[in-house]
Amino acid sequence: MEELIRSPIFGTALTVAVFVAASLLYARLRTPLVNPVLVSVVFLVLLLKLTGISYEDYNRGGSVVSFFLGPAVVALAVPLFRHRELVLRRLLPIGSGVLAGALTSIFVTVLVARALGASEAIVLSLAPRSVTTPIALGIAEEIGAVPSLAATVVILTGVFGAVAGPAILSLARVREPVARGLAMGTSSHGIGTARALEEGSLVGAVAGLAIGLHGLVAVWLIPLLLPFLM
Amino acid sequence: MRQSEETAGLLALERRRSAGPRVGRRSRSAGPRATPPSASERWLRYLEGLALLLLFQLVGEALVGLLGIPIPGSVGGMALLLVALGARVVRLDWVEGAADGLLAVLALLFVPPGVGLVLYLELLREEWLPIAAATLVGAFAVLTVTGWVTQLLSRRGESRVLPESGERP
Repeated sequence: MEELIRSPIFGTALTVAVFVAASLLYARLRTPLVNPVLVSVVFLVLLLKLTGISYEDYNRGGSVVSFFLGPAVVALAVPLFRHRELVLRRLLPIGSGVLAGALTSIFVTVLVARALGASEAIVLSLAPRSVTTPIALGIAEEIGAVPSLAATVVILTGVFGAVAGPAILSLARVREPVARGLAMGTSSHGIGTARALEEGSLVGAVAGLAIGLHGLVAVWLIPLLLPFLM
Repeated sequence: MRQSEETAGLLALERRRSAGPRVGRRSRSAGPRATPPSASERWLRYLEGLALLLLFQLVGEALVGLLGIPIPGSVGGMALLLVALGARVVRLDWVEGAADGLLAVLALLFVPPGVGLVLYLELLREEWLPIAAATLVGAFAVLTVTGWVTQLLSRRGESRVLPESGERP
């Protein structure tokens, strides 16, 4: 048994099985509150806590699953290519939207966290909150944050955006598909994009574009602006 | 047995490709091919697409490292693949099966890093308020600001109405 848990097959099989079950639940209940990522993460965290299995053991298989994030990011070129004409025509609104979102993310995140008395390590780890995991890790290292804590906050942000994002956008009367996709991707990176893909391939494609653009902008903006906010 | 089936599929794929770009282009626009691909051919297409995605990530990693650009290699690979598709070096139907498949399960890939929060439960319990507030308020602000700016500038830029609501699968 112990040996089995140490083998990568344990984490891989467990992750896929739990996610499939969570997806079936989501398909049945059709409410964003049971978002498959949220349900799977909560279930697995509880499972690890209750059984005492270490994250290290789990992630030997888990990292096999998340390895495919790399080719998946490359794959975002495909929906983008399909919608290239529309994206090129709207380059100015798209670029401005991402830049505005990136600035908002830094200012609001850091100021709110500081106002509520977060320690410096937490504030720094929160700063790249809306950036996709691999880029956020790079930024966290550069600004002296705790990379793995930053990654956790990135996932939390993504899950919240996937659960509440579409409702918030509708509440704010953002109806235009390009604007919705861009907002989901800028705010909630890949997890938001997975949710945006449910609204349509154009919304998903633009969200995918926003992941890359926000990453590019944030890599420069966060180290530049952070000294003025701390 | 299975081995020979795969080889046959590979050969068929090679033959189709060596028939020249004109055939390929025509078959893409004219809808269904004369002979629908067999199951093993289709799986081979997925595998071929995945190989291309991994190859582009690899080249992306190398390029990003070489130029010292602070972005992940996969994002570089995405940009390179976009260029390759635009230049018709890579045809869309070589990669779209694998790409659509991977993107359909994109959410699954975030589960293991998400479970990583098990390592920070103590810290999250201690500083939950600033973390939760910054995340919630921040997400709300970023969503609305990005959405508004993009929507406003899109409307201003496009005086003619776009068939934008035609999108919905």
